[in-house]
Amino acid sequence: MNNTGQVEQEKQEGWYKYGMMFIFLEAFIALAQTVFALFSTLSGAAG
Amino acid sequence: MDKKGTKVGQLILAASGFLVSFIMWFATAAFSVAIMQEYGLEKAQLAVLASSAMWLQPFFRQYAGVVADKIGAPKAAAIALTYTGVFSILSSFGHNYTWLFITRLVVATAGIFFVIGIQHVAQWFNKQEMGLAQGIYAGTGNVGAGLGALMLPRIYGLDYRSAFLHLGVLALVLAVVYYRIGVAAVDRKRAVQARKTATLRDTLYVVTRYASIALMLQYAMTFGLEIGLNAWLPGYYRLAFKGQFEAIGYTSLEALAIAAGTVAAVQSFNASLWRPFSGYVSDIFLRKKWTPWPFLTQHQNISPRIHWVFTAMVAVSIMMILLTFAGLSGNLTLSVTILAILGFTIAFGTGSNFGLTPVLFSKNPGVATGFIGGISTVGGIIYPLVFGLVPNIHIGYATVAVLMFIPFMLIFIVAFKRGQHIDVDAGLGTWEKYGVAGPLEETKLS
Repeated sequence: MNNTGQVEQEKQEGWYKYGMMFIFLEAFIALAQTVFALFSTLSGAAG
Repeated sequence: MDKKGTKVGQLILAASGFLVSFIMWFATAAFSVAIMQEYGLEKAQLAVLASSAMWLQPFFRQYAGVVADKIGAPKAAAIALTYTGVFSILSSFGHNYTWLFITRLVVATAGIFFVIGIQHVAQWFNKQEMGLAQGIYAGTGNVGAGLGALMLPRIYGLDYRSAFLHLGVLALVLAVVYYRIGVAAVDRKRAVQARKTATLRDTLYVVTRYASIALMLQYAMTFGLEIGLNAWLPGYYRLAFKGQFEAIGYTSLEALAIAAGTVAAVQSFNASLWRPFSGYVSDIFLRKKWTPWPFLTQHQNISPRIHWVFTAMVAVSIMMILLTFAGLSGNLTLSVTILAILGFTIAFGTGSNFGLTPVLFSKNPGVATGFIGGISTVGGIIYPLVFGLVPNIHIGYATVAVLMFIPFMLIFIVAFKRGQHIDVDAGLGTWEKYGVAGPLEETKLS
């Protein structure tokens, strides 16, 4: 049971680490979309 | 026969279902310009159409969590995707406004998927990883609204009928996939336990606690605002900044729709994609034991998370007032910049709430989620109506902040005030009176 628990814990940590990377990827997309929206709209390219 | 799945696989499935549901939910708003033109709608009618996307949410969401507990999230999800997909296809046919309005009203109930997915994810992840898992689920799914506003007019132009048809077919395909590979819970025991706690008495008891009411109002001023803005903003920018858009060169109706949709999506993208980050900040508050607000509870382990929730409420209120000033200035760049920061603060609010709710209501997370995630959507109905009914189209944001958000914050302060042990059982009537198995207080506030 302990062994199983340890394996589970390691899996969880691995998943969580990728989750953290995903957070920053999403934040980057949000910033990129904001910049894209501003530039494309104000430059007249959005339409 | 037991089906097997992985937690990451189920998370991706839930987020995909939520994403498609959100695109369908707000597809009407993405084509508001085309619909306005075809049926000759006025500003007030646009506000009604925008708010109608939220009308059935409070009632349906409240019970969606209970149904998911009862029959399992995959079946509940398949049902939701099937009927909304069918009505989306139906909405693409017919040529009168009544038909369009009614069918889209039903399609808009796709928003109930939020509660089903929350329940699905909760059944697969443990407490320590729940915040991040729910953040990724909700943050990724919510982006569907922004994605719809950004992409649908680009792909379909003013041809909203084709868009509704294709989205309906996509929902039907996903319903089959969800039913085939979705697994209700990580193990049978967890699924059976969920079935047992989904009772009417438990629901009534949880929804009458002061803490759940305060958190529901907090979610109404963040998520409720997010969805209200999703429905409202494309029309707002099209009407309020028409002159500025035309000066840039957006003269045709289609170009105006795309430009307005592009800037409106800024709020949705930021409110959705920063949401998981808010859970991370909540963890930092907890780790550093930050309790900046002197009038809120200070000394319990969970106090820092409550302070982060309140910080987000203050930030949202300030940004709403600033959005009014930006609109009144007539400066499109300033308005879009403020809108992006507003979305950012909304994400703080939504992410912080679901870092707290499952911990406070760990005995009945599905019921609490259904209530907080359900009734709060009333905000999404009311805000567009206020925005559309005030004499000046820019004033609505500050009006909502002053008349609604400040009272919500006062209620939150009373529910979690300083010098008092957080009593999740405080509310209207005792647990004995409701006949539930026991108090919520057994919950460990950690």
